[in-house]
Amino acid sequence: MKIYLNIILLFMVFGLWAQETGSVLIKNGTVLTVTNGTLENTDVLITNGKIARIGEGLSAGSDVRVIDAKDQFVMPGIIDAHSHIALDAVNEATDPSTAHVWVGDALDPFDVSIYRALAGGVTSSHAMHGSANAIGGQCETIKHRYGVMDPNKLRMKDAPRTIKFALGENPMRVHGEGRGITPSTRMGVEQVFRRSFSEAQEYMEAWDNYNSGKTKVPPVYDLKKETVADILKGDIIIHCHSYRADEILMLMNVCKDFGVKRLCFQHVNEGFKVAPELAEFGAGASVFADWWAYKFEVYYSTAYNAAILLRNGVVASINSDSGELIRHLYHEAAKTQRYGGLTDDEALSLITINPAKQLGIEDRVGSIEVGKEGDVAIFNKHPLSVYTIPQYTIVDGIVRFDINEDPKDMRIDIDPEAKISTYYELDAGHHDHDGCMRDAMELFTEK
Amino acid sequence: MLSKLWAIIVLIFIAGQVESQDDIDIKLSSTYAIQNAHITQSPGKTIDKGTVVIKDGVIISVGTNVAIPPEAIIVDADSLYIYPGFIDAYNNTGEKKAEEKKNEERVKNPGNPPNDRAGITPDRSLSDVYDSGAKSISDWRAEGFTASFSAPAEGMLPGKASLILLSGKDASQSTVVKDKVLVGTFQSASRMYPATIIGVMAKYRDLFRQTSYAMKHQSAYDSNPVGMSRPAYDKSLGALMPAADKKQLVFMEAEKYKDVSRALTLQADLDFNMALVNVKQGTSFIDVIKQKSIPVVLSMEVPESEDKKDKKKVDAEKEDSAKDDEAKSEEDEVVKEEIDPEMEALKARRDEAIKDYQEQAAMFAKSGVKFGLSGKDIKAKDLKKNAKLMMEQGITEDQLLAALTVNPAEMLGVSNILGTVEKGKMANLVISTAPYFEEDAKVKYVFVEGEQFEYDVEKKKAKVAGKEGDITGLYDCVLEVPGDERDMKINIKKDGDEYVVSVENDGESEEVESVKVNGNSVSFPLSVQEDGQSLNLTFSLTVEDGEISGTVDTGVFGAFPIKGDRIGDPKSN
Repeated sequence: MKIYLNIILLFMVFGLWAQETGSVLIKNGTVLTVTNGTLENTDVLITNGKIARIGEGLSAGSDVRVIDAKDQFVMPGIIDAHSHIALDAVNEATDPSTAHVWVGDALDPFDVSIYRALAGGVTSSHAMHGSANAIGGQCETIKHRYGVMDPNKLRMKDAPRTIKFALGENPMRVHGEGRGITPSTRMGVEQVFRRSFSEAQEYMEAWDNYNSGKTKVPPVYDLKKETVADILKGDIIIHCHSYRADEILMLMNVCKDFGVKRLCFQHVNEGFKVAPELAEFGAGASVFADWWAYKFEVYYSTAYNAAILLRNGVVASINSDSGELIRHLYHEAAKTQRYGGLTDDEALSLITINPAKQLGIEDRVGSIEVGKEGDVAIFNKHPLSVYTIPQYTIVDGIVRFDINEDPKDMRIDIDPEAKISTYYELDAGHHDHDGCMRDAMELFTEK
Repeated sequence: MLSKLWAIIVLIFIAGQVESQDDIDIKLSSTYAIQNAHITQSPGKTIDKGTVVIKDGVIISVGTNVAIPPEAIIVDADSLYIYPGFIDAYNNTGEKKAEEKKNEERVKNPGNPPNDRAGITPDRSLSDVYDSGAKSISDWRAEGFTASFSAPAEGMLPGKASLILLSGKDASQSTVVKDKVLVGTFQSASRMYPATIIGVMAKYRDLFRQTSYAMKHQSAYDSNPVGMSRPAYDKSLGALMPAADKKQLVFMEAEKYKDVSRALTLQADLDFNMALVNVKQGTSFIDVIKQKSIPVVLSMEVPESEDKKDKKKVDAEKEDSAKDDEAKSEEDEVVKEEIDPEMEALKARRDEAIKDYQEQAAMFAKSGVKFGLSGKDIKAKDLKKNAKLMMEQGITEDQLLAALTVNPAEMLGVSNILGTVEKGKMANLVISTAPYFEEDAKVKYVFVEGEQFEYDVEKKKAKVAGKEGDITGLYDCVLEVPGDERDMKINIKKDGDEYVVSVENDGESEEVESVKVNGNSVSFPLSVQEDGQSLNLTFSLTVEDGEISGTVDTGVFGAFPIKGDRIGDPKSN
């Protein structure tokens, strides 16, 4: 009997979740706005998915859910600028450039990792293509609307397009070592970029000639070149997997040569060596708090990386690249206070407004401001305290995680033929694996 | 290496398959009068005791009071039930078994492989891969299917589907409508682009857009070729042109929820006319499908709860053990009490999910969406079992019948010749011993374009049990390999004190060496040579009450179950 009750409860929850925006009034919390300081004993009213008012003694209609946040901390929903959750495919590892593929075609709204991320206060993430290819596929910025069935409803509509690039060992290993083609070396990786950009320039010219009537025969349509052309036009932000300082400088030089301005580096373990150069270019840097030495090119690293980058004027963020780390990015951000002595606002900016800037969505999310989207995380202690526990996570005004209503089985879609087991198996996304290389290595294990 | 071995296994067991053996006898007339039957002309329209007269493959009259031509062969169908021959709205029926790909050259550039290696063969016709003797044709016909909308399988764009009759004749005679629709799937290629779903989606966009521009180029060239380079011929793009031009329907295979969603995304992006086929988890899309008037073919594959299957087994065993030993059944009960609540909760949700799949057809029917049914993922003989599961969830017999007859005929644009038992229609009939969907109903006759196929409705030959404790005998066995069943005979005889075992496969008998017998269990190795490779099989069998059962271990591919009945005394040679 109890089982059925649980099921009914679950469906009630899902029924509510199927909506996309909602209203909620958060009362008497300590509001960490990130961009406008800390407001004690303050209410935040979210109406129809948008932050409508911030102030004291706010009220709302009787149909609006009220959350009493007395003695609790209200912060902007956490944003992860690098993850691979909610994806059915990560690497189309068949070519050094696969700009034409797009992980937005493989969104998986049934991935329980989304709920786990919500349980860590994360409301948005950058679902990325992997790092098997020098030019990987296009990525998708998603909102963690766990409970929706339609993959399209995970998308953060109108967020800027982004694409994955990768430097160093991964593309060299997959294509050079695995198949004996370019790139076998770091020079080769650069060559892939330069060739792709040059080809895209020629392609654009050919289309201009056709469209203006100069030529009568349409060029052969090529989605790969179309996409790279869109990078050159400034319509797509490059997010580049990187470790070594020399390569980071290399990509900035390539971008300068081709007039590409929107660039963010991922991992960037040696970013601290070239922080002023990154700041000058205006490139972002999304780093791990303290994870390295998992391959040769990642040995030269420091936990002070984020702090050094930030204090040198780089838009820096801390990411997870993992279905496990994504659950406690607030801890990861707090490490920059131990290593680098960042202020609370600085540390919090690494997982809120800064990743928002790197994804080009800072006018919509990343801080608690009137007019922004109603993405909020509520903690029982200050989110940078090691004792803190997330209580509620709200996306577009809908409470999608509530620690008091946290059923055991949060799966949405159940395979009717799968074997039932109460044994939990570690899945990909854990640090033991390399999430960035999902779907890639099995393609090249046999020569 | 592994794939090669697998191909050998398939070859070995295919060899054992008996060719379709429908008796070819010389008919004196092509006119039949099927008399005194209960006729379902179309869903809901029945004649209680009527006669159907067919001539030269066409129904010439149906009714209670019809003239019987003197040359007619009379089929006494008293107490039989006549239905329109069923139409499989999407399948690969008639496709040749895939041949082993021998020493296929390694693709030079996996990032841009040749189309035919990457599963992009929209130019393929069913006739290119057709085998009139394919087991699938006779299997489906035996269940009452007379026509199938059939396409080549494999790859993201496997080819075009043709409407064929399941007469077992050659491609040109069987094909009613050739290359009617383009088939699309979300299958990725192996170790080359498109290797993932993101690659497949991108490839669709590339191909359709390239096709549109190729058409523009062609029409510009057609109107004035002077000074313009001649359009290059590309057979893939050529085959996609009718679809890109919205003149040909695209059958998108979309089994699961996300597949349907992705198919809708592609259709919106690329603007082609689409049908969703082989749908298994489509209930949530009923409104969209209705609103956009998308033709739908639902899968006949429906999952069944393992627990329910197990329960039947347990109940049966319990009965047995109750007879044998009452104390033992008490023991069972003690074990039963240890219920793990976590496990129960997981099972309850799993069963809910199973129900969702089982009730799909009923939900579509209830909402008034007309749909066809696809047998692609089931064995023909499981049709009735699955139909029963669907009916338990509320789809009516008439709705199911419509999905197998009039609906697909309409969807495929052939309702003027197929789908009902009416004057002027093609003589495609299925005749059963009881209302078709009743459990003990058996198909007695099938007419395909006026050609009669008769089936044995008697129970199969009873097994001939040997003497107690004696394992010798001739056993008629079925080996279950993934996706298929293979027949073989095992002969166990005694020569003095020695047991001699031979395995008969494809009419060829091979004696095996080093047979081990222990009580009623028999085991022996069998080495099979094929194409310079050898494969060592190990048979482990147990004989009990005239039945033989056990496994055939293939090593790398694991063990497959085998079972059979003793059909007589051992052959002496």
